[in-house]
Amino acid sequence: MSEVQASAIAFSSTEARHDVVPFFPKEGAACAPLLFLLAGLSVSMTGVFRGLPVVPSALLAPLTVWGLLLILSEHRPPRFFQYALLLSLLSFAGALLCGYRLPQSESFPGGAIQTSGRVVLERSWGGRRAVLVDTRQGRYLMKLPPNRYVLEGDILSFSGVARSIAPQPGSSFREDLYWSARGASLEISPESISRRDGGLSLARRRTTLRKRMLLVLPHRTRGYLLAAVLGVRDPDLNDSHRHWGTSHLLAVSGFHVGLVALGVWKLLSIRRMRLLFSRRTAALLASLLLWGYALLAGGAPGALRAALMLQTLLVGNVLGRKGTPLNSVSLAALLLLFWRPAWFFDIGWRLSVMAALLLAALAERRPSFFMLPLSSVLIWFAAFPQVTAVFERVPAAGLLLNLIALPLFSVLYPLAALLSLPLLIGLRHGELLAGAAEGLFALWEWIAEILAGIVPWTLSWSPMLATIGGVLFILTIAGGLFPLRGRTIAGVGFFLLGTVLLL
Amino acid sequence: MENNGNTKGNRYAGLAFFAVGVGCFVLAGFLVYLFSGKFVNTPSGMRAGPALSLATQPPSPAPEPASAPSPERRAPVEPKEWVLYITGEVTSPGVYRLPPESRVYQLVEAAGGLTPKADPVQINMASPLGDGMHVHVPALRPVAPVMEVAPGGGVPSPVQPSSLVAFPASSPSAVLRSAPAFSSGGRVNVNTASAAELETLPGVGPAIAGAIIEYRAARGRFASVEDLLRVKGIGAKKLEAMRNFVAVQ
Repeated sequence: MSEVQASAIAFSSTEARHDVVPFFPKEGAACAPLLFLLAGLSVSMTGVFRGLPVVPSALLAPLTVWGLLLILSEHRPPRFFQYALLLSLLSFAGALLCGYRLPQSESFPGGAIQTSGRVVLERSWGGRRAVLVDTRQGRYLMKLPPNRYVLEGDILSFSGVARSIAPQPGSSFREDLYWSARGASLEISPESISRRDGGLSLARRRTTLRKRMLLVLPHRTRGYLLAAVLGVRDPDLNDSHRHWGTSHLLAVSGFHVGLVALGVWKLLSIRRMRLLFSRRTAALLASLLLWGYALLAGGAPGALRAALMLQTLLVGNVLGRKGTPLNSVSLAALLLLFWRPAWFFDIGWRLSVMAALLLAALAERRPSFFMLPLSSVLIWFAAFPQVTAVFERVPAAGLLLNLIALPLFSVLYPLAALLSLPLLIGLRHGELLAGAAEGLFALWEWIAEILAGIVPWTLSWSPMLATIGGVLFILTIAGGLFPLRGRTIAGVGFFLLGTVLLL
Repeated sequence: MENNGNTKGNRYAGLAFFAVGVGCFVLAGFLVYLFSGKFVNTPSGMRAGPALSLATQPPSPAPEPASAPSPERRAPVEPKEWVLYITGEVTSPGVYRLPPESRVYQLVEAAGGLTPKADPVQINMASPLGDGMHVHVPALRPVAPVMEVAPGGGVPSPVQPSSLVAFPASSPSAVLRSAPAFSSGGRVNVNTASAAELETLPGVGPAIAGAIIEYRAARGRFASVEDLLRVKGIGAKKLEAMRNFVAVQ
């Protein structure tokens, strides 16, 4: 008999004797209060995005929190209303904070600037190179012609005209929000630039490692490890994975951070290591490794979210206050939003939070052998509306390939990193081991091509599939919070209908 | 009976709370209806972003849309001459006064012209200037770091690391392939590189490396990096990915 069932029976008998409203300790707001906060904030941010002023949008947050708590909670714990009031006030304050901090269009008229700073990001951007420069005055975006090479870690001295980053006219892509999520709200049209070596920095370490990988590793291994370690995508690999519907394997995400966390955990679980380090030291060590990896990988939203989530779990473990996975994911997502509210509009943040919430909700239920394939299918459906809205099409092969890709790459990535290490550090005959990794990746590509040939179709946005995705997502999350009874299902249906009608 | 009454009471309370919850969503809907689209076009008045360290003078005034001149706004006072600063590889770096609407070549001329060390490719002589602007003329890049290959086939290492030298990225690995004598500026020279060397470039596999060599054999040397676009299998995106790692000599 599970702990929850036992406590339910105990509470039933107490109810009979003392007229107490039955309360399941691990249900609803008592299980993941921050999830309600996140839901309220999400509705409020969507309101701002749809053109509502900030204050009425912020009011949507507490209304959503109250609405969800009341329609879903069949059992109300003691002090339920005080608790709900606190959550709704927090959601209102958070929504105000985020709403006012979102970038406003035409907020800066432009001005000349002359300063210098360190390049913290360099990537392709259409036919140009986008460069983010950290200066004492803030972070600026520059788009340079591709023949002007600039490396991460360099110091750029530049002068030019600064303007607010404006969304592209006629495009649904909000470039201002994209760069705002990465810390830049002003774009420089440079008139003169000079560049010099920036000395030691994380960005420089990234460049050095990138250079080393490009120089010595065979091409498939190079592409996969560049993506997993540094978040740099090889165009050929990117095309292949887009075709297979497995692009998420190349974007540094919770999957990759989770693999690192698992590796660290296994390492620290060795008996000798446990004798060597106290629990707190081990947690500190694990935190340093986690953040080191997340930042080395370029600080992608998925990686940051996963690092934050694992950090909260680690801290909770050390303090003896174990949290629930759903609450930890919500906390990580909220912290990212409070830091930079524009993350909410980033497809990477959305898919990462969505997948993590689904996995966390499934983890709240009893894990079983079928959980892994089920989670893969659920994530595919839940991500469908977002992915097709942004990328227009999604390959159906992803549904099949992800069933094997996730377990396969959870072995392949660490193995390839291990096999490539001797060559990267310059050991003799290291190329033999790196060749083995190359062979494994070639084998994966062969299998993926065969499976993609079996399901060659791509799907575009369809209201029916999007609705299925939405229903499955909300139902799974609600199922992680409450037992799936009539009231929960009715509440989910009402929430979904209301959200679609309202927004 | 009493217990039944309590259960029934709880059920009614549950339904009442459900109804209040629905009421919350209805109220939210009313808010959305009330404010939707009402304030979209009003100027926010907010200013995002950090304070800038502005150059000595305001910029060359941003081109105003001719269709909507503001009668209240004063016309910007155009200075009679611009004060400009030039540094780097010119004969006499320093501050110069030039007439408004001058361009970079005029400033370079005023500074006595480029020195032999100047890199004319990295500076756009036709670029327009603005009052208070600083122009820096970069020097030609120093000789590329030659990748030293240990006789036993060790891993190559730059002999002379230079902060100004471009990313010596796709030189081939001395371990996996032959010595990288082909690289120019640390880049792969597409006019001389072998297939194995070309495969070290991002996005280039055996097929594209073969196509580059085939093109080179059939039509002669590449005159510019953009000529790679004529090779079958290389599009703008692929060229973009490899551009930083190739050279044409």
